[in-house]
Amino acid sequence: MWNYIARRLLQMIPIVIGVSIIIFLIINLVPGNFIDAKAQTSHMSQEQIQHLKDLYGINDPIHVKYVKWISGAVHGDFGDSFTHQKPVSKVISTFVWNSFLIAIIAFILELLIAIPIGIISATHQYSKTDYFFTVIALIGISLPSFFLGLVLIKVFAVDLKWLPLAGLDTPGTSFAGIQFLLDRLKHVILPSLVLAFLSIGQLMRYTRTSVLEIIKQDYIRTARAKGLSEKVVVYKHALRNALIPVVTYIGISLPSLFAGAIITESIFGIPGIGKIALDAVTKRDYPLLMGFSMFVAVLTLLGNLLSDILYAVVDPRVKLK
Amino acid sequence: MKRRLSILALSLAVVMSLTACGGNSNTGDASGSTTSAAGTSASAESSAGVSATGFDFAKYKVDYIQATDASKSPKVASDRKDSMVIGVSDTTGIFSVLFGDNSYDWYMCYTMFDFNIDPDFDGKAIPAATDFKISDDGLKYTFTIKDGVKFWDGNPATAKDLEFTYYLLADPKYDGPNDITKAYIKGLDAYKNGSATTIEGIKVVDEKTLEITCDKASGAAIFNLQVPLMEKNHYAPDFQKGDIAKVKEKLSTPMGTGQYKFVEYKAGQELKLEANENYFKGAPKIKNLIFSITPEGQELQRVMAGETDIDMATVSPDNMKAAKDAGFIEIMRFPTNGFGYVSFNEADPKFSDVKVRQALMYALNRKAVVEKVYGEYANVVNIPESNVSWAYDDEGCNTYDFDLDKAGQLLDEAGWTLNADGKREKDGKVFTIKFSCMPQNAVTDIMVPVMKDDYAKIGIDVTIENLDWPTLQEKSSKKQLEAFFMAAGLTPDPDSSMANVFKSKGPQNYNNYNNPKIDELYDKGLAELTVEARKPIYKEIYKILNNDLPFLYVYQRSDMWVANARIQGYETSSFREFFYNIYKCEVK
Repeated sequence: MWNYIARRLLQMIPIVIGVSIIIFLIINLVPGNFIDAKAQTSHMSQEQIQHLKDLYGINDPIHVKYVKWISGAVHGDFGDSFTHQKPVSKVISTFVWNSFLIAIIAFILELLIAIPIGIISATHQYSKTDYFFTVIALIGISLPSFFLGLVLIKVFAVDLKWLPLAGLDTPGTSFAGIQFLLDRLKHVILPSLVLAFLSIGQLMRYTRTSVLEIIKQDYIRTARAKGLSEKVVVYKHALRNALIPVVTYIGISLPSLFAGAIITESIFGIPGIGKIALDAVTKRDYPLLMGFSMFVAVLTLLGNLLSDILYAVVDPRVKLK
Repeated sequence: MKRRLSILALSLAVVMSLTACGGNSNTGDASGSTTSAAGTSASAESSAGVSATGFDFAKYKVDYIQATDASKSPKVASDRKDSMVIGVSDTTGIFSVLFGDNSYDWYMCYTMFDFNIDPDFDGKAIPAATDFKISDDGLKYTFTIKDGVKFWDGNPATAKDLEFTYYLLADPKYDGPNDITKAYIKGLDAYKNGSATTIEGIKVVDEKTLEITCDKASGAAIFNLQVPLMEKNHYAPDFQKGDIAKVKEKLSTPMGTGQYKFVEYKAGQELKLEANENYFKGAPKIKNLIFSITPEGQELQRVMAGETDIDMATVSPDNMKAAKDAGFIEIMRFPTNGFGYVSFNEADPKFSDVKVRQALMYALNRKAVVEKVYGEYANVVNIPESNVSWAYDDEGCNTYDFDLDKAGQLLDEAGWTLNADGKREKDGKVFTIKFSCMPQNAVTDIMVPVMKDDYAKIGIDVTIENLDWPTLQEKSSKKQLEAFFMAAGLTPDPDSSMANVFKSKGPQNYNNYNNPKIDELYDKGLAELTVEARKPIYKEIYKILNNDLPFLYVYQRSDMWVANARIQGYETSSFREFFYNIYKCEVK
């Protein structure tokens, strides 16, 4: 097992390098750059524009840029963000936790809601309950987040005034302890709900399919034949096997917990990494964009590894060599 | 249902801004002007644009609408007895105007720092934390720091601190957006690009006095010499040439002399400030000042909910109505410092003919477009200057009212006659236009179809290319675009924003416009040192630009501050926002 993990981690190195080259090329081949994008509004002279392009390394040929970037990156230095004027790693670590907070709450909600209704849908296949949940799930998958977000804001913040419109804390407060937690919870509940609702459908369908498949197997028929109650059959015998694909889904979800939710964050004014990354695209903040893309790439690889390991943990038939 | 629709419109605006994010362009609500705002006449009762504290808004073209019932203010807001919350759209946490160019960061800086010079409400330069003197030949500037100007830590501001900021701007490693070279300080080049360790033209005369000598006199230099007072001892006590990185580390923990003291910054969320009791113009009347980040499109909603006390909202008939209906909201609507335009690349012979450009101007139904996008809240413009500026004068300028016949006639005169297919043709070439713009921009979304339609009527086909903001910027700056739409920002001084654009060798001249007379006049405008002497020169410039049409000027829109009436004392215009005088604001 440990051998397997070590080997997989080693294999990741060339993949990460390859990914970094591809991302770097894409980012740098997009037309437009940080200085030109603001030259007009700042009314700079031609000399100043050139001087700044030199300072920011925009005039370097692309291979020189890459070598500069990778030689910093191997030492953990991802350069300074153009817009934030701070090291990229610092910018990411400042904002990523706000994204993580709403994402993890959403994720827990998703698990708590999607798995039970997935099981109910499967055990009551083609019943009214099944159709009801399936329709809800499909609505969740299809609704754009900005629409759902704004409807929730309209209902709960504007009309009912139960919850705040935006931000993470009430402006100007410096609560501590339980008061802080309650205030924070009030702010994150709507964005988390939006994120959860959008993803519940997928996980619910996963669970439903998987339970359906298991329930038709011989050993379940045997369990029923021994006279076990339906509850025990489903929750003790079927569920364990049915959840195997669900566990891998959890592993794959790892990067999405940190990657930020661009639209939801923008609508709710959450200072998360998704919003920051989008700004980096529109302003052509190359170092930040590169650092963030690599961060997500590495998380994706780790997520895949995690999901493979979990697979072996929950399913004794799978042996990692 | 109506309100639900308006929130949908808002949501679309949010999405538009996500994709268009120009910063320059506005994502207005283009739902038309059916909900006509009868309120402009009703506002006559608000004593002709003068605030309760006596500030004359009307004088600076600010449309001021008083609240009708201040008592309707939500409880959350009214409970904040000793604090004021300002909503802003964005922040990067770079608390120095020398290094950041985000206008919301700048607003924060205006409350934390004092400058040697400020813009007045009409854009003229006035002394701020220093008194200044300009020698008769315009080459020597003497700044004397006013009595009582102290940093938050109690140390008095000195000429050394002022000197320090100039050295930052002149540093070879300085990578911010300011361009000090435009002030022509003596010996600056030798410092910035050479081995000199001091700048010859900058001299500390005594504790409070700094003298700057320039190589060249310039009427706009005063604004190029505008710097904030930053305490050298705090940022870099032993600053040496090249030490920019050291200073940057301190930017998020600022030290200024301004009205409010820095307390705490929560990244991307809020900035908390506290009144500077020792402020040299008098202690601010409100103890705590908080800047809170508002998602785009929800500015007005947050003021209405009481989460913020003031914010800048998109000017649209819907927003105007909602703000007025709330009762407790004051509106201060002012012309935006900028204008939208269409630019044609004059490297192409078909556009270098002034008659063709005039024909295209006549054939562009600007009035209809502007009305459709902004209702009554924007003007069609005919010269590239804000109507608030002291330099604005459009007397005798052509208004180019929509006239297709006239356009056709001008094209005929220019030799572009209709061919058998009904298209304009000259020397075997058919007149077509490849037009580049940003997708999902409130203005171009309306303007482009109108333009395409009307130009087709005079025999010109227009094809559209959609580009995102940085791409549009890069391609236009490389002069690779045939025709494009963009918005230009205007600065308080008429030279610093537009001379760069219209002079034949101007760094932002992206369309090869070339008129030696304009070059000469802009130089002349700078050589004169008083506003009175400069006025007639800019009048002449605008008259020529109105005839030449290097751009087809389209509109100047407006912005508005929406404020909870529980706080009074705002003084604001397009050039001098209320932040400069925020110490006068008080809770009523």
